Amino acid sequence: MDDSQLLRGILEGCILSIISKEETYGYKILSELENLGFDNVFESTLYPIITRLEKKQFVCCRREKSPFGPTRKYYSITKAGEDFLSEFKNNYKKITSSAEAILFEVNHNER
Amino acid sequence: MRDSYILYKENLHGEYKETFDKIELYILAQNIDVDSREERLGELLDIFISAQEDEKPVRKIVGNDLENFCKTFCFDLGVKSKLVDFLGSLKIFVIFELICSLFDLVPDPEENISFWARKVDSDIFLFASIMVFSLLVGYTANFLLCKLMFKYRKLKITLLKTLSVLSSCVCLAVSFVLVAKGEFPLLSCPVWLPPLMCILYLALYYTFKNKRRKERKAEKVSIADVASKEYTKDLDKIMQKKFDKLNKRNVRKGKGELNFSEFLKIQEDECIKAANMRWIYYLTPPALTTIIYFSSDYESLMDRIIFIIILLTAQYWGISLGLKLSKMQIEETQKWIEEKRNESNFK
Repeated sequence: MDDSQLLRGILEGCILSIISKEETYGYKILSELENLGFDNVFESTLYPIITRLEKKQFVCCRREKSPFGPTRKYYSITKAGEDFLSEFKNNYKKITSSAEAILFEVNHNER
Repeated sequence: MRDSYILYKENLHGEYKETFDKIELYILAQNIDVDSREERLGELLDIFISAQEDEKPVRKIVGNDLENFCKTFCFDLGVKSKLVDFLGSLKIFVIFELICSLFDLVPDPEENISFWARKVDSDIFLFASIMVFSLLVGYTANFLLCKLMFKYRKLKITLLKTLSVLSSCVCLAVSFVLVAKGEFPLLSCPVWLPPLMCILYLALYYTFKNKRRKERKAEKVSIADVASKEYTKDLDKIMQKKFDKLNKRNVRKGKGELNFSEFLKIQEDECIKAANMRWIYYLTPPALTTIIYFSSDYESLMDRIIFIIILLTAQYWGISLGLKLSKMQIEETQKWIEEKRNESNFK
């Protein structure tokens, strides 16, 4: 089953959450996503999401020469980004618990 | 110049180099402005080099479908980026036309016409049409390139790049030949119109390009720094070749072979000689300009003045660049000589 529809909804929040832990850069974000099980997230997916987060001012970036030579962008979360992430996490919890209840027939009382 | 990603492309090898070349060609064919291109390709190059260092297969970064990767990577490229690229393509031509049209503003003392009534036979419309037509041909070639490069995967990158550039150059050349043959008439217009059009064009271009000015400034490196890096990298090889060549010549002439400290002394003397002789290059432009001046015809005094100014400016610009590079080479060679002497003293 094509999971891109599901991914589309949550990837922005996941990437923002990774950035919120510490200042980071593109390759590190991709590696962390891969380690956490997101095998099908590539640079072509990551780049527009981070650009969108920057435009919305949820993340800010600074440019520095990487150890390999090219200019590297280091991203860190802003106050607006932290507020958005907190709201995202609340919405995610609400939606997933309702979805779990339907998909896995978890009894409301047991929850 | 900026610290471009191109300077670090050599760090890629094998499948990473091949894949990056294809993605780079695709992005170049999108006709986007230099800043956006540099940003995307710079970030991608950094990721590629990092992944290569970690020995990950390239499909972990780009997936199995390169065409889809390229399309997704360029999906959010806006019209503004392409507009800045289009305006930027004609920038040099517009600046040149502005300079020439400013000279037309200087009134002829024999004429008795008011500034606003003065007309001039301007070639600006003609050359603008030629440049725009050439650009459109180039854009069409780039569009076809994007379609062909994934359909016919065995097509070599260099061939595709060459065809794209060649199509624009041929179109430009044919147009200029037709102009030289007098196939297109010049249009008469008010004398203030061409410079005004050029200024409005440049104002529009720099307004759109205003983004990231500070960051671009921080990323600038001088041509001398870039050339210095390249020269220093190969200096050991260059000097070794020189040393071997000198010794072969000495042996051919029946003289003894040089030892390394004698060779270092010769190189040091050559550096000092080159540094002392640099002033001679400043004499070349006036001499060359004089020769060309007396072998050409001019309609008026203003034409002569314009000719001399343009020729001298172009020559001194070229010479100052050449002298910067030669100064850099002399300094790097002297540093290298010092290093080698210190190494041999230490031994």
